[in-house]
Amino acid sequence: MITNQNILITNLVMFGLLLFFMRKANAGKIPQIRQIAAVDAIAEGIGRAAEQNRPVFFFPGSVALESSEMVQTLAALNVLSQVAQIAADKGAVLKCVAGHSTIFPLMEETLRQAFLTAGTPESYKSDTLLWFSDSAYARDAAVMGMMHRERFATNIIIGRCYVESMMYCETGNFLGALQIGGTAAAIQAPFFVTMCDYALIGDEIYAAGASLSKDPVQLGSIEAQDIGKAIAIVLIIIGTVLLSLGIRFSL
Amino acid sequence: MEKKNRGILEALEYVDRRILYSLMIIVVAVPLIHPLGLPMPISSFTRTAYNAIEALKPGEYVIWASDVDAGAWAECGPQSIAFLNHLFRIPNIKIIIVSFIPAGTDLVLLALKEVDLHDKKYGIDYVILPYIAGGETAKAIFFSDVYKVVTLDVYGTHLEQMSIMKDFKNVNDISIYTGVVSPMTPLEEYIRQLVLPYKKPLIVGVISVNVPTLMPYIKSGQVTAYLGGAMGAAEYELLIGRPGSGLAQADSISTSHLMILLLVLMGNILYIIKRVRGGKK
Amino acid sequence: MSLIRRREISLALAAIGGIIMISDYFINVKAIKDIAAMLQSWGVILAIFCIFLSTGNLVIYHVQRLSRQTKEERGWSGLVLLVMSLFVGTYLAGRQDLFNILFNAIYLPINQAIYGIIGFFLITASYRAFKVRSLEASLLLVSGCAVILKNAPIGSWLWEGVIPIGTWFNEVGGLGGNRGFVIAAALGAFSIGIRVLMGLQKGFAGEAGGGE
Repeated sequence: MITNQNILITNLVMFGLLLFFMRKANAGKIPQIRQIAAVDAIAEGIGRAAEQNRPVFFFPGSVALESSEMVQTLAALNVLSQVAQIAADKGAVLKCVAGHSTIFPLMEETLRQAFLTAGTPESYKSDTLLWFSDSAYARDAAVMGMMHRERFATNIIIGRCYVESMMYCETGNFLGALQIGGTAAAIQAPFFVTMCDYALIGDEIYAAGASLSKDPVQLGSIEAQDIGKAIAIVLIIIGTVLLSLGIRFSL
Repeated sequence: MEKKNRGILEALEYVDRRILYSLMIIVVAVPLIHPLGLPMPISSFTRTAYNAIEALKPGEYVIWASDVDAGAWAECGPQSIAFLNHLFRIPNIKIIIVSFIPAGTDLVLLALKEVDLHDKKYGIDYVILPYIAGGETAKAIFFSDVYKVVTLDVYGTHLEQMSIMKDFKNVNDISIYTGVVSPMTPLEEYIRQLVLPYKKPLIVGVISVNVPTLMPYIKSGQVTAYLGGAMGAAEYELLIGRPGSGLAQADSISTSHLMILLLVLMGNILYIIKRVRGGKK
Repeated sequence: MSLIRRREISLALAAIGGIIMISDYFINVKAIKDIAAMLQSWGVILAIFCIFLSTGNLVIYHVQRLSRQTKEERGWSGLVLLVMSLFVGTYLAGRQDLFNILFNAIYLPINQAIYGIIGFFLITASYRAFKVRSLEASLLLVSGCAVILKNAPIGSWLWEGVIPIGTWFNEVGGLGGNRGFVIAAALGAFSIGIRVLMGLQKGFAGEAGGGE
C-alpha cells in the first residue's frame, strides 16, 4: 500500500526536523545565522539609493504561479517584504517589476502589507509595481529600457530567472548600479556570481528572508535545513566509502 | 613613451563596447556566409540519443514534446528539425506531438515545414496535440490519462476519430519520451512526473547553458541522453545525414568562442601588466 | 471579518489539498488516487483562471493609472496593447494564415533578437569576470576556457586534448556542484512548502512579513 518508502522516510525525517526546530525557535531559542554579505548589502544598497536620490529596483524572478519553481518566488517575496520596509524607513523609492501576471497580485499584497507595517502606506504608488508582459523577452526589453531611464542605484534580483539575469545584471553594471542577485537555480547562479557585486547562491535566498525578518519560524526552518544537509553529507560520504569498497545496495 | 604605452593599454582595457559588439557581428556573420567546414567530433550522448531512436520498432509510440519558446528557437529549432527528421524516417512508428508551453505548438508546426514526412499520414502515423496549460499538474494528468486534459487535436478534430489514438491512452503506451526543453520548463518536472513514476526513457534537446544542470540526471540514469545546444543539433544532423541550420551555426560558434577567448586573454594580459606596474611603483 | 474572507479558510483548503496530493504519492489507495486526480484537474482549470484573474487585475490597475492626470503616471499604452492583443487573438482564432504571419514575421524574430542580445552581453561580462584576481577567479577562468573550447569544433581542431578536459569539467567538476545545488535547493523548497501548507509562511495573504 505504501509506495516510494525511501522518499517517504526522507520527507518524514525532514518534516520532523522542521517541526522541532521551528517550535524551538518559537519558544525563544533562536538560532544564529552566519552573516551573509549579500543580505547586509541589501540594507546598505537601499541606504545608498536614498542618499543618491535614485530608486531601488526589485525583481522576484519570472516563474508563473503554477510553476514548480514558485518556491523561489515565495522566498523572493519574503525578501521583498523586508526590502519594502527598509526602503520606507530610509525614504528610498522602490520600483518592482512582476515577472509574471499571476505573481502581480501576490507582489501587490506583499508591498501593501510591508508599507503598512512600516507605517507609510502612502509609499505604495501607482508606479511602485509594474508588469510589462508575460512574454519574457518583451519584459526584458522593457525593463532594460526602464533601467536606462530610471538609473537605479541598487538592483536586487532574487528568484528563478531565465535569460533576464544576464540582461538585467549587465545593464545595471553598465549604469553603475549596486547589484545584488540570488537564485536557487544552478543554471543561473554562475551569471549572478560573475556579474553581481553580491550574490546569494542556492538556498541562501531562503535564508535571506529569514535573516532580514528575524522571524523565529523562518530561522528555525533554516536550522532544520542545515541539519538536513548535514545528514545528506553523511549519507554521501558513507555511500562513497561503501561504493569504493565494492558494496552496492539500492534503497 | 611610457605615457603613450599607458594610453594604449588603458584604451585596450576599456575598449568601447560598440567596437566589441561590431567585432562579434562580423565574427558570427562571416562563417555563415563562407563556412569554414571545421571537423566536428560527435559526443557520446548525441550518439546514444541517435541509437535509441534508431532502435525503435514498428508499432511503437513516441511522444515528442515541443516545450520551447521563441527565444530558444535558435538553438532548439535545429534540434527539433533534426529529431523530427529522424523520427519520421523510422518506419511504422507512431508520433504524438505535444506542447506544455504556449508557443510550442506553433513552433513545431514551423519545424514540420522543414521535415521530410516520408509519407507518414496525419491521424494515422502522427498527431499534433494542442498546447496543454497547467505546468507540472497538466503533465501529471496527461501522463496518467491523455483524455483527461485533451480531447481535440490542434486542428480541432476529435482524437477518438483518429486511428493513432486507438492504442495510446497514457504514457505507459510509449517507448520513448523525447523533445526539446527550453529553460522555461524545469526538467525536474519530467523527472518527477514521467521518469520516476513510469520509468520511461527520456531524451531531451536543451540549450547549451542547461547542459551542466542536466549532468546529475544523466549520471543517475534518469535522463537517457541529450542534445546540447546548436552543437548538439549539428552533431545529430551529421548522424542522420541531413545538414541543416545546426551545422550552419557550428562555424559561427567556433569563431565567436575563439573571439571571446582571445578577448579574455587580452584582458588578463592587460590586468597582469597593470598589477606589475602598480607593484613596481 | 466575513466567514468567506477569513485567512484560516484559505489556509485550511490549501492544507487539505496538499495533504491529499502528498498522500497520493505515497499511498496506493484508490479513493485517495481518485480525489487527487480530481484535484489535479481542478488545478489545471485554476491555472487558466489565474490568467483571467491577472488580466482583470491589470485592466483595473491600468484604468486607475489612466484616470490620473500627471504625465509620469499615465499608462495608456499597456491597456491599449492589452485590448488590442485580446481583439487580435479572438479575431484570429479562425484565421491561422494571419496568425502565422504575425507569429513568424513579428513575434519569432523579435524574441530571437532579444535572446541574441545575450551574445553581446556575454562578451563584456566574460571580459570583465574572467580575470586572474584570485585563486577562485583563476579556477573559474581555466574551467570556463576549457568548456568554451570543448563546446566549439575549433577547440578540438586546435588541440584534441581539450575534449577530455572540457568533458571532465562538465561531467565531474560541475556535476558535484550541481548535485549540491539540487540537494540544497530541494531542502529549501521543501521547507517553504511545509510552511505554506501549515500557514506559517508570512508576507502575503493578509499578513505582513517580519515575525508578526
